[in-house]
Amino acid sequence: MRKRKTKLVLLFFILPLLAGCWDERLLKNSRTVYLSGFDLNENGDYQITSIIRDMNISESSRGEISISNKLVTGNGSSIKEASVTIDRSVAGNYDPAKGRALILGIDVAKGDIYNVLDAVYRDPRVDLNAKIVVTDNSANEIITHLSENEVEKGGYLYELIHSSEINSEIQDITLRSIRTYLFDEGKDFMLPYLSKDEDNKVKINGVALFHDQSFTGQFLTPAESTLLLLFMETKSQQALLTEQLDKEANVSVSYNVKSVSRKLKLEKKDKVHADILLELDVEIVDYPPDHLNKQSRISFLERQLSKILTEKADALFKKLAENQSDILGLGREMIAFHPSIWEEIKGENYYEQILVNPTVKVNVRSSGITL
Amino acid sequence: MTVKGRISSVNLFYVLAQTMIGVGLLSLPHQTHHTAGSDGWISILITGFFIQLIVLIIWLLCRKFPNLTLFDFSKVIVGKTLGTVVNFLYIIYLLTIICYIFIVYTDTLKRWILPETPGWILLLILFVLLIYGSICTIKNVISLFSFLFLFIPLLFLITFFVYHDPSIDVRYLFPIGHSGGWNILKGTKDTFVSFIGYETLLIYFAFMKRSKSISALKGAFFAILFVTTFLMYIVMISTMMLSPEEMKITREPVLYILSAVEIRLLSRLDLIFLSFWCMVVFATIISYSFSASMGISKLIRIKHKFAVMLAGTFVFIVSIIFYYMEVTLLEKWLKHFSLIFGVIIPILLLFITIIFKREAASTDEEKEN
Repeated sequence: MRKRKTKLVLLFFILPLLAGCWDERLLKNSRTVYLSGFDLNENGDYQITSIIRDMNISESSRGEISISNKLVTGNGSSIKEASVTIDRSVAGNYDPAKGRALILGIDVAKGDIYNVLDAVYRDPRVDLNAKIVVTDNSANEIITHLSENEVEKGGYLYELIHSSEINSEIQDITLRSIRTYLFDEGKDFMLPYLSKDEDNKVKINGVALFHDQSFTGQFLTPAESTLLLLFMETKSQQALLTEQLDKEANVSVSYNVKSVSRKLKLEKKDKVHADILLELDVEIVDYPPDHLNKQSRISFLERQLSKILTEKADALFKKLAENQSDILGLGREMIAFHPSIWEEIKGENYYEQILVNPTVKVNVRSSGITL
Repeated sequence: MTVKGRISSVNLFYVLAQTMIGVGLLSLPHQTHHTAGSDGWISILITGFFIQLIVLIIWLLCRKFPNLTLFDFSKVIVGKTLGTVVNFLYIIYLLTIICYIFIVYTDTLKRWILPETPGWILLLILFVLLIYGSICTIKNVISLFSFLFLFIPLLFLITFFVYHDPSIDVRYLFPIGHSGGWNILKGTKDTFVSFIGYETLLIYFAFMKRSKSISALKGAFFAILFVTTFLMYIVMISTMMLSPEEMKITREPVLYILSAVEIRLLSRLDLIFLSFWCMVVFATIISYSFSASMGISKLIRIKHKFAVMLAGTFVFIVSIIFYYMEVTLLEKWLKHFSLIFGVIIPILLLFITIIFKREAASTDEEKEN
C-alpha cells in the first residue's frame, strides 16, 4: 500500500515533464488563415491581405458551429512587421503562412521574391506544401474578389492549382521546392499566373516565367507550358494537347501524351548548342476525320504533329532565351556533366550563351477504343 | 577486476550502432557540405574506412586484456598513477559527450517542435532517462538496445517518402569529386564527430564472449559499415533534395526536407522522424553514461548505482550552465577531444603494450586460483 502511494506521488511529479503542459496551442486561440497575398504599396512597404476563417461556437443553440470569413490587411516595411500589424487588429494569434496558397502581387513578383518568403522559412510551423501563384494585378484585389464571390476561398484556389497540375499545365512547385530553385544558380522556375477574365472569374492563365529570383514579365499559355513540361520530362497524370492540322477545313487533333523520353546533347562551339530530341508516345483522343486504321494515315499524322510541335518548341525556346529563363535547368545539367563548359560561361546571364535546338518526334501509340 | 556478463557479436552490433548514430545525424549534411560540397558522401565513406582501422587498433589493444575494460588495463599499461589520470580524463570525455548531446537535443527540439517548453524541462527529462536507463547490468542495456534498434530502420523508411517529391534532382550529386581531393579529405574532419561512439568499444570489448577471436571484431565491423552506409544515405538524399546554396543556410536539412513531405494521412513527417530520432538519442546517452559510470565506480570505488547518479547530476548541472550561458565551446572541444581520445590515446596505449610487452596479469592470477 505504501509503495503504491509513493508511486502515485512520483507520477504527480512527472506530470510537468509532459510537453503538452507547456506547448499547448488551443484551436480557439489561433486564427486559421485560408489565403494570404503580398503586395508592395507606393511607399515601398509590404502589404499583406489575408482571409481569416472564424469559428464561432454559440453557447445558446447547443454548441452549433457557425463559420464566418474576415478579410484583413496590414502594412509594414518587412513581412513580419506587416503581419504584426494584422495581429494587433485581430483577436488571437495571426500567422500569414498558414494558408494553403500564397499570392504574390505583380510588384512583389518583379522584385526579389525571397524577400517575401524569408520569414516563412524561419518558422517551423509553416506548411511547406502551400502553393504559390503570381497575379497580373495586386494580390489584394484578387483576394477581395475571392472573398466576395467564392464560397471556398483559399480552398478554391488550391483546387484550381491542383487540377492544373494534374493536367500538366503548371510546374508542381510548393513553398519548399521554390526555395531550392531560388538558390540554384543553374535552374529557374515558373509559377501559375492568376488573372481575372472578362466575366470576373479568377482563373489560371498560364505560367509566369522567372529568372533568378524575380518575374521576367513574360508568361506562357497553358499549351506552351505543357510542351515545356514535356521537355522537362515532368509530365503529370495527363497532358492533353490540341493542334490545328488544316486551317481551312478546320481539322484539328487532340491527343494525350502517354510517355516522354528526352535526349539532350550539349556541345560547345562559338555558343553552347543544346540539341534536344523529344520523343512522345501519344494517344489520339479526338480526331473527327478518322481512318486511323490505315498505317499511312497514322504516319501522316505523326509527321504533321512532329512538324508542328518542333515549330512550336522553337518559338517556345526563343521566348525563354529572350527572358533568360532557364526552366529546363540546362545550367545545372552543365554543372553536373560538363563542368568545363560551365566554367567558361557561368555568371548571371549564362543563358545568353546557350542555343537550344529542339526536335520533337511523335509516335501514335493508340487511339482509344475505336480505330 | 574482471567484468561479468557475456555479449555476442550480434549484441555488440546493436550497442555500437546505437551509440554511433546520435545527435549528429540531423545536421550532418549541412556540416559536410561546408567543406566538401556535394561530395560530402565521399568524406563519410573515407571517414568510415578510417574508423574501421581505428576499431582494428582498439581490438588489437583489447584482445591483450580479455575481460578487462579500459579503466582496468590502462593501469596495467602505463602504471597506477598515470592510469588513474587516463581513466579520469576518459570519464570527463564521456561526460562531455553526454553534455553535448543534451544541449543539441534540447536546442533542436526547442527550435522544431517545442518552442514554449523551457529548456530545463527537456534537460530534466533526459536526466531522468539517463538515471533510469543506466542503473542496470550490461544484459539489460543490451536487451534495451536490441529493442531500440527498431527505430533506426524506421528512420530509414520515413526517408523513402522523400522520393515522392518532384523537385528531387540527382544532378546535385554531380560532378563527383568536383570539390577536389583535399577538400574531401578536409571534410572528414567535420564528419569525424558524427562517428564518435566507437570509443566505447574500449569498454564493451571486455564483455565479449570470445574477445580474442576474430568474431568479436565482426560485430564491430558490421556496425560501423551499417553506420557509414546510413549516414552516407542521409547525406546523399539531402544533397539531392536541396540546391548547394540552400544547403548552406539550412541547419537541419534532414528535418527540413521531411517537413514538406505530405502523404495522405500525415502532413508533417519531420515530427515523426524527430520522435523516432529521440529514441535513438536516448540509446546513445544511455550507452555513454553506462560506460562513464562504470569508470566512475572503478575510480572512486562506489556502487554502479551511485556512480550513475553522480554522472547524471554532473551532466545535468553542466549542460544547464552551458545551455543557459549559450556557450558553444563544447562542439569545438569535442572535435579535438574525439581525435585525442578516439585515435591518439588508443594508438599510444597499443604501442606501449607492444613495446613493453604488457600482459593482463590479473586474469592470469584468477586462472591460477
